[in-house]
Amino acid sequence: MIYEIFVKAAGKAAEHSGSVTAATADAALVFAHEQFGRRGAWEEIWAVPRASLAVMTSSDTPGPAFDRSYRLMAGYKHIIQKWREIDLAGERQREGLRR
Amino acid sequence: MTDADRQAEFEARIARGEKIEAGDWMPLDYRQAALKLIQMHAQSELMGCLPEREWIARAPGLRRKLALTAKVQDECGHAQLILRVAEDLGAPLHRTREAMMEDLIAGRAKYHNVFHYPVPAWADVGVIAWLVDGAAVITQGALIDCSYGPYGRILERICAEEAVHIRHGEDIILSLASGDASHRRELQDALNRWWRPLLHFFGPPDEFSHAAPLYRYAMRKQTNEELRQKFLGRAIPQIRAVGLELPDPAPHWDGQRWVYGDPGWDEWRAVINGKGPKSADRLGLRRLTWEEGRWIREAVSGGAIAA
Repeated sequence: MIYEIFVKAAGKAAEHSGSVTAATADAALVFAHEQFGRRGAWEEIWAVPRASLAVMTSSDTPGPAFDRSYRLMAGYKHIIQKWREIDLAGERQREGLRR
Repeated sequence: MTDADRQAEFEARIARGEKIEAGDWMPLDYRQAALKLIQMHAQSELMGCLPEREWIARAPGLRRKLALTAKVQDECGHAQLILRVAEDLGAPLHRTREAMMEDLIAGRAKYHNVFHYPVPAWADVGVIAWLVDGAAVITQGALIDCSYGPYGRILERICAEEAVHIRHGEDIILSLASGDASHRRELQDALNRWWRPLLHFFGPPDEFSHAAPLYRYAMRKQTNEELRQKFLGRAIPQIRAVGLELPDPAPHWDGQRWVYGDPGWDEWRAVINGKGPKSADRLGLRRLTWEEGRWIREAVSGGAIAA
């Protein structure tokens, strides 16, 4: 059976690291420890049977039907220009000088 | 291992700057204080959807309607992410998501002061996204490094989305500022209305004893006043650059810090205890949607109740 392996470092989210083939979950953890945990920088190792993963791919879902750039920082580049036009940087500098 | 040993080990972990995870042993006062903070944040996100929602249909133009809808969806999504963290933290105390929601709609749970106020004009929508989200990103950004790992990690994602909301607010207010005199008047009026609630947002400067476990266990590292000063330092040059006047009494720099007029803490206290101008209306709407949505929750959870 194929197990997908996720390694969680201290304070971090678990990340997918790779997969192992094993007969049981216990064996998968032993192999995963050897493959991905042998340098010690891990807090938890998770083994998930590949068959248990529910998977969707972006090509199976419809893309946005129209421009959705208002959801992204890149959709607001003109704002940076507007702040420049009204001289926010100069105002910050004058504020600093007033101190 | 005795509880005293566990407590000592926990405090040593905090002192080393380690992150606490959902399944780790933790002292009861840590769990309670973290849960209270995180639950308040979740419920503020949920209640924060309502004032802006009022303006979706009235927003000028399709793009602004879509952008505002997207922002409300983001805030609602934040509530879901944070409630999930709160659920894990509350499980050993038998604090379910349903119990948290029941507390909210019964008026027993607190949420941010700013969501108890009306939104009378379009300019208010801009000021909320520009400065209320601006204030929120300062408190939430300061919590990314908190000792509870699952909360800190989702805050990174939340703050990235809040940064887009702030841009959306700047887009609205900069458009109004470059409009005619009536637009600028509307914007100035909105800023005047929100100024006091914005000063209140960070809480009174002296509420340390109340928050003590949060500081002792490194959930919080900056005080209310430190966060408010950071906000003022960021907002005031922007307000001046836009050509707006600082609301009376205007804050001034005394050489070390921003000195601002007494914002009236009695009002803040009354508002967060549910006596704000829009508290009853908004909670009424939340209660209605909670009741009307019950069949959907039951349907998607296969019978088991879920929020």
